[in-house]
Amino acid sequence: MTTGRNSNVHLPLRLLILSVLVATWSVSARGATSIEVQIGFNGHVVPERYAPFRMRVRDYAGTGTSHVVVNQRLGNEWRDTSTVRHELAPVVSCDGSYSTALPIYEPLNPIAVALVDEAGEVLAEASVELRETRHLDPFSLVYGPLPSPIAAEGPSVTAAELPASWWAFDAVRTLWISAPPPPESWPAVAQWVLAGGSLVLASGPDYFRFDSPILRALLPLSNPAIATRPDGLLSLDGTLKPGASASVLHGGAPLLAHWSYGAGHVAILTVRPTDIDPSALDEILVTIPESERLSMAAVSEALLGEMQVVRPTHLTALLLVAASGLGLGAVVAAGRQRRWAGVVATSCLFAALTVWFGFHVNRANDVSFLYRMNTSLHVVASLGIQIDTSSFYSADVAQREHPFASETLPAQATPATLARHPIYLFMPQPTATPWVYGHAAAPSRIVTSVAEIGLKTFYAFSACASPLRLTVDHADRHAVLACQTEERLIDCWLIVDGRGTRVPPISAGTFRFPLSATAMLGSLWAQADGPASLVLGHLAEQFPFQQGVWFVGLSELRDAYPPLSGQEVRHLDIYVVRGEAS
Amino acid sequence: MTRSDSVLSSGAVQGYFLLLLACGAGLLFSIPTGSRVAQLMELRWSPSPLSFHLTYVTLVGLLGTFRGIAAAGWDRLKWRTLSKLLGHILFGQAILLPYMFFSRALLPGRELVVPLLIAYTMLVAFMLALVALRLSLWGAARRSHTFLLQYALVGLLFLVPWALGLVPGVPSTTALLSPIGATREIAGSAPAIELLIAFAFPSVMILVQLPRLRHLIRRHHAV
Repeated sequence: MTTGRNSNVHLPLRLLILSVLVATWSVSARGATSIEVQIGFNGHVVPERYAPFRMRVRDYAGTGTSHVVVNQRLGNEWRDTSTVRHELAPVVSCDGSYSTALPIYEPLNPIAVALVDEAGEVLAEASVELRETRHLDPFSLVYGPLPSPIAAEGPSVTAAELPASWWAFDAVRTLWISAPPPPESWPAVAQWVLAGGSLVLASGPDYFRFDSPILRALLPLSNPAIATRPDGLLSLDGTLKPGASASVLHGGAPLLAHWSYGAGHVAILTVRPTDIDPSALDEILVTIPESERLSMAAVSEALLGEMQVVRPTHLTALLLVAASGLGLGAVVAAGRQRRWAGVVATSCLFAALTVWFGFHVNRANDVSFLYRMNTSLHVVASLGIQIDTSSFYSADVAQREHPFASETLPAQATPATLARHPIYLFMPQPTATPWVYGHAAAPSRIVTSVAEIGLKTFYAFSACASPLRLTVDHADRHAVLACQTEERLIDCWLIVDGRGTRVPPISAGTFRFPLSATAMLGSLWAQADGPASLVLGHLAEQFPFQQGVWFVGLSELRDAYPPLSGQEVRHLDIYVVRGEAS
Repeated sequence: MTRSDSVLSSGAVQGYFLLLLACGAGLLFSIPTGSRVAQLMELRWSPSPLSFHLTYVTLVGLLGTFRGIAAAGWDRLKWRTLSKLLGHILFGQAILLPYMFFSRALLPGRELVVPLLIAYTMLVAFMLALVALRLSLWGAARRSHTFLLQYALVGLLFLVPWALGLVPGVPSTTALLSPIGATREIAGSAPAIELLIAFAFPSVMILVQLPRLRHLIRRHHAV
């Protein structure tokens, strides 16, 4: 007999069973994890340059966090093949979009992407074909509607495709922006310009739809305002900033205002692109300079070449051979008469030689087979970027472990076919991309495999806060440098419109310098000693020191501490700070 | 038959001089040339730091063979002959000790390699000395010259297992039977199991030779 009470008692049990059934059904109904991957700007990439990497994860079925493994196969059946493997730190934990930047090596073969869980099980795979959309040289990128001569310059992207890290623009020759991008995209764009990028803002009188504090810093005009040109077109007007210029005159007024920002270039169209006739657009296209990637590879390699080879001298070894030969001859001659005395004398003599030359060849003379020169270039304006370059020369084929320090680390297991390629390294810094090219042997160590004897240079790009800030008061003719670096900069210069002066070493604090630079840049480099001359000469080729106020500071060229056995590692920090009006 | 050879006899001393000079040349050769890294880059060639150690193990091995052949011609074959052979090899090692300490600079961070190499080379040289002695006695009994055979065997021992170890499909541990392969592994801080194999081979060979030599010594005394 069933009572109402009994049915009430069974109700929770029924509900529980129902919940379990529903949960079981929903789990079984849940599809396998799938990923959708996009590399490059609509697939447009350049070999040996970074490209944006976007991945959408659906129906994530992993229990914990997962990471992404990207394999790029190089070569073909007719020549040596190898695979470059990149691993994403464990960041994928649910459905969603993930983005970062990825170096592209040789996109002739499909790029394999896999989502791998903590147990090493592949949850989803994808293959990206880039053969048809690869470029050999950097290409123009268009954001927003633009008339045909410009639109035809390169692929266009949507707001979602604009990368968040500046080095993802590595393959871009010129970035054309004609529509307001999401505000979060501006820092990456500005940092890319600081590192040598070329930006054209095709806003015209619609500038105020774009306006932002970062853009104000990039703009070649101050006090922007809307005005009417003599030909009746609405245009963006303003005061040219020091170092900025106007060009492409049309209808009695300039169509373009441009200037250098950091190592890069910013231009703005003063009228709407649709209001400009095609011939003027063609003229604008040839006026815009191409982006040039800022690189310290040449400096790093030159400083590496200057490093002293650590080894015992040949003369010492020759002395040892001679002393051993003479000693043996002497004891043999003496031992002819008394054999045991000869043996004892030999033992004593060679023991003495062992001790003497053992002391001579102390640890300071241990042969170093790996020489590494790390340079960190910090370029600072309102935003900061850091480019770490590690050049190393290996005199033998070996595998070594390195401490996982903040300094630049070489990548691991360089494939043989990459011998002539520059290798990109991703540092596991919080501000940098989480990609790591390498293999951590232990939590604090990384393994480097040197596949062949020779020179290699690695790059690591990151964004950073501005540890130095240079404020210029043109009216009072002085500049104030606020420095928050922990290290002491021993070689420092203030450069004002192409003329420079050496300033005393600085450390953390605030320093006031008069704007009274007198020496020509060339003589400034010539007077510098050590690595400074080389570094300054190279920086002068990459930065427009002839315009504006700049501070250049170099740290001491210091050895790695603690010393690494069999390796000579040196590090140099270089700060290039662009002065901003107070 | 000659009298038992002293380490300071003219025949032995010539061998030691050659050993000193050849190992000295190996030592000079293994030090990189160039005072700046740019010069190393220009040369595009750097001698292996193992050049000296390979020369050392090969020449001390040949010294063992050389003394083993000589021991067959000494007065009477006794157990003391073996200890004298060992003494000759030790003397060779002693005069190379300054070189070995100097060569520590070629293997930075690998402090144990030098004593391990000395111990290993000692075993290899003694093994080769015993084999040479046995072969010489075997040849003498048959009135045939074994000189070329001895050095051909040394060459085979040094080269064949090492070359086989490089062939795909052949276990790489085969190379450890060759003093060349073993030296490379010891200098490269090989794992303990590989070190064990490297040391086990000459040790076992010595232990195998000793009963045979005891038999020969007994027969020698009986004659």
